[in-house]
Amino acid sequence: MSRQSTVLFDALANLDPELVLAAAPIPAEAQHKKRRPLWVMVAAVIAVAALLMGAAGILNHYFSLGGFAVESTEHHFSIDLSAKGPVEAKDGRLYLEIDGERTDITDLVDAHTAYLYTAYNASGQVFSHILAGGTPEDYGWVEIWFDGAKQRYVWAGKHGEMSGSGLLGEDLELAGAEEVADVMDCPWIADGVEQILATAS
Amino acid sequence: MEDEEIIALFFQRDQRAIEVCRTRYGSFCTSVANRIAPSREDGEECVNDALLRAWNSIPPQHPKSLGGFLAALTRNLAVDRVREHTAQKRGGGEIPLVLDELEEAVPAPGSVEEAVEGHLLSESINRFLRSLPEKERLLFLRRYWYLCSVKEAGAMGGMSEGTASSLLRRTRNKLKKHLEQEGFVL
Repeated sequence: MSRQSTVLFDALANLDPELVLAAAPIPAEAQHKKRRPLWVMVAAVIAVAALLMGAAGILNHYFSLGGFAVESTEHHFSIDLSAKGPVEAKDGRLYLEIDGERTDITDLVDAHTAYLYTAYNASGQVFSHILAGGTPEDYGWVEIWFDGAKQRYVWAGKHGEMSGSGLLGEDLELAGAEEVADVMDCPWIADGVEQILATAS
Repeated sequence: MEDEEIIALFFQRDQRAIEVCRTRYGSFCTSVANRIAPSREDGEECVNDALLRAWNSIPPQHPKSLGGFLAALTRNLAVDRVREHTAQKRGGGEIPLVLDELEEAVPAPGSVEEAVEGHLLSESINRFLRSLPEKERLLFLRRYWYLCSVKEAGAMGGMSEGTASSLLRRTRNKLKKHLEQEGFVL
């Protein structure tokens, strides 16, 4: 550590007391992270992935549950986030709409709690997870799904001004659930990823 | 009793002011001290000393936030205690870790301590903190002012330790840029 960092540290001693007081630590007993029961819905048959063109492994296009296009090749991966997302705020309520089914999730989510929608393919295997969370004023969504061809998880999402997409690697846990929460910078995503990992364990 | 009424007692030199402060803010100040001070006994002494310092400094001071003012006095006394103990090689809790992390927010080697008066730097950091989203500001203050562990500070904001660590790293980088933009670079 340098003397400069000590100078910075000492300068913190004279911060505005109002700012400081507003950040007063929350006693451990008051930190009850709200947990929701795991919401798992089984979609009958959701044909959301399709090989559209080219020889297998050359160019793959996928459609996510949220209606987003994924393009994947050996050296390229991209997600088109321009389509309408699966979460909508209307009249002070939050709705998740997947595969034509519209669910009011307003009372099931908040800034720290995600709603988890899990979809299964015709073989009964988990195909995709959609996380939605936040408030009608500040909401977002993330989709995490399994790329069977590449044997890895991929994700895409939007929250506020933040959007992103990427690969999580073969093992969601090893890849780090934090990766998604970090990029999107929001607590409910971390909560949702924890829910997913809990179902996998 | 509201803060203004308590401060009025200080101005009237009415010693009930100290006991009212202890009742209203004693447990808060104790929690601040106990996160930092080397021992519970040190923490209790820091709170008592903070109340005494408040008595000696109000008036002329008239804090806008009495709780924050007392917490700051307590925190600074506790930091001093840690430094005394550290000088005697008895460890320093979170402080060495926090100082290491704050290295990343130093604008340029040699610039801060030589070019800047402490209160100007504090004011700049105040401006920086006010510009941050609430979640980020609270996390920063809990880590670097209250000296909570990264895990603990993150949990208070509903974040995992990894997320909190990443956000803190970004905030330190932002602080560095902010200080440079405000001229804290030689």
